[in-house]
Amino acid sequence: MTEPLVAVKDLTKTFEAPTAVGTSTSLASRVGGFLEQTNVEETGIEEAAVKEGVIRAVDDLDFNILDGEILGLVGESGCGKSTVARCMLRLIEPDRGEIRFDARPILDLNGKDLKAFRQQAQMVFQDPMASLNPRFTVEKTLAEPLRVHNLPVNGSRKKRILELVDAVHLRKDHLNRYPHQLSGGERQRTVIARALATNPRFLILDEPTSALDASARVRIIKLLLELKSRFDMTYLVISHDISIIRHMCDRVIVMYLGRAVEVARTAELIETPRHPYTQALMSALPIPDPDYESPRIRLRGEVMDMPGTGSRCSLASRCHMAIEECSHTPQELAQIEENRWVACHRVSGGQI
Amino acid sequence: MMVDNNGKLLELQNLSICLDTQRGKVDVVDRINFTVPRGVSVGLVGESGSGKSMTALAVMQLLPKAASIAGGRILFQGEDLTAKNDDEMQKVRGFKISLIFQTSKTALNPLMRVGDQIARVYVQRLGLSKKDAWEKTVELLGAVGIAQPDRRARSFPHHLSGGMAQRVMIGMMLACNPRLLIADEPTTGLDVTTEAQILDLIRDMRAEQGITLMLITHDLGLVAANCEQVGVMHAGHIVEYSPVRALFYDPKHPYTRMFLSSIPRPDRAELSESSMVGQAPDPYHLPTEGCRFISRCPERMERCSQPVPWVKVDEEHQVFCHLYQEAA
Repeated sequence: MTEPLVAVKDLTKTFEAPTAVGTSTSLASRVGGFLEQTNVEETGIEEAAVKEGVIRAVDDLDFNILDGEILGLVGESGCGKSTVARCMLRLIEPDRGEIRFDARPILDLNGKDLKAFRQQAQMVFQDPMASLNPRFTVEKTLAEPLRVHNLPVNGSRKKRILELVDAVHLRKDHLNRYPHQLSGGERQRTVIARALATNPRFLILDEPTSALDASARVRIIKLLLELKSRFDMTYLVISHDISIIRHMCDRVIVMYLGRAVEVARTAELIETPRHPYTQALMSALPIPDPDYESPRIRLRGEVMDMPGTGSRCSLASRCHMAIEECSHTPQELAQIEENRWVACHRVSGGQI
Repeated sequence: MMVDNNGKLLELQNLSICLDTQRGKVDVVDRINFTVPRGVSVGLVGESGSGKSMTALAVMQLLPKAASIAGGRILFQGEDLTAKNDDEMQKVRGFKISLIFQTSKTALNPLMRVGDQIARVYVQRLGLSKKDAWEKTVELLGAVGIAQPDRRARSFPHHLSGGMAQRVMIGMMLACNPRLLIADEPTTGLDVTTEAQILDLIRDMRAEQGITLMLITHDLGLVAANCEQVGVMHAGHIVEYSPVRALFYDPKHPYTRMFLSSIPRPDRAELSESSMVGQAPDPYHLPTEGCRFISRCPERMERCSQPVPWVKVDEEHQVFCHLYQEAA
């Protein structure tokens, strides 16, 4: 078996909770950090926070990413997907846990070592417009990571920039444009090129196509797949769009309120979801076929509860399969078949 | 659903919308004809920039300053909305036609409690007392599926999740009991489970109150599940209008075919090879008379630069394309 490129163990990240509902206006930006605006489902978190005093954005998460693999991370907004990504690149510091990259622990890296790590692990942020400097042209945007990492080691920087532009199928004349002069697809290509600049081995793609139209989405998916095999990279794809996951990922982790609820191969996960939450998620997908009869499973209410505090299942109050036992049985990820783990005691106990 | 011939709730006749920009004038909507029959839910689909939202704004007479109606009529219950002045339109907006936007959170006033915003509709438009209006508001929030409506009514918009904000918008829309609801990308940016809940809500409200829906979206999955008839827009033209099943199983226009085959689908493992060819045409250099899809069309012919005919495939299915015209 191949050594995992990335190994994450017991990752936990909590955020200080707002003191009261009315004063938590900046919660979304606090949870999201400064890098971008997130669509945190504030309400659910707030209400939970009032009860508990702390938000467990990521709660004891374990996973591996194999070298050359594309791993998907899906779940609704506010479930902790982006927080995981930020912890993995040390953009924010987790409370506890361990992250290894190429067998090296990265959580205590600093200075030169951290910089060297970041050269290998890059991220494409969710909203390209928000993560591009409006006063930088495409050329300057692409030159920035090269300047920071003092690249290329030999050869000209301009030549490298042209290579990057070419790799993402932009044209030379895009170099002098500012972000507002680019279309949505072109902006996305620019941020992808920027992430590629340091020649990384590992790329985190946070909702890489959420700002795009359906047709532009396909082009970006194809580009990303092409780049992956061309430059021999490993991807973590974060999305709530199952069609993106389906077309890109080998394996998928489904997250709900900071925890992994199901891990499986992509096709199996989509076609035969086992965790009640995954089932509800899949049944809500809009399928472009008027003859398709949706087996709609409705979850009750909104995300209101606290992430599993260890003693109960975090989905219990919304779950269509929940029984009394669920509210006092801890939720543990258990292997139920080859390549499939589910965090539901009813599934692993063979009850459903 | 049976549709009687005169049951046209909304009819766009030869509607053109012109956008006056620094780079010149653009016909963002060019002589479109489109009918929304009473009681039928109609979808309007297309890529961004195809003119869908402009069409919706024109119906409400809420076009941005740079845009204007350059020709044609908008008939609602037989009356031409383009001939109405602003005071007259105020009696249509909300009361007869409601529009809900994509960004419900920015459409709500951030400085007012959501309950006050809805109650104001009751006070100003229906003349209720403040106390009655508040009671109606709480009742309404409950009806659109908001838990603890009396508490939520006192929340500010930033306290709400995207799904809740959209429920509030739908509640506000229902307050005046309109005949037509225009929903412009009502679920973009929401999670799929929330999206499904919002569409369930719209469906329930349609059934209960007999509201006709015009759904504007680029998501064909939503159209398949929620619409009975569909118009496909491309670069300011409606290129195909058909019952929903025919659109998916027997699409006629080359653009519709390309659009259908280009979307990534969660229920299919493969990406289609024939993803959209090229970019949408440059709005500043559109062909004046002929088909606007010409530069991307795999089936283009000589006569495609001539004025395009509306061809009836059958009673309910029409296509805006030379391909189907009998050789003259």
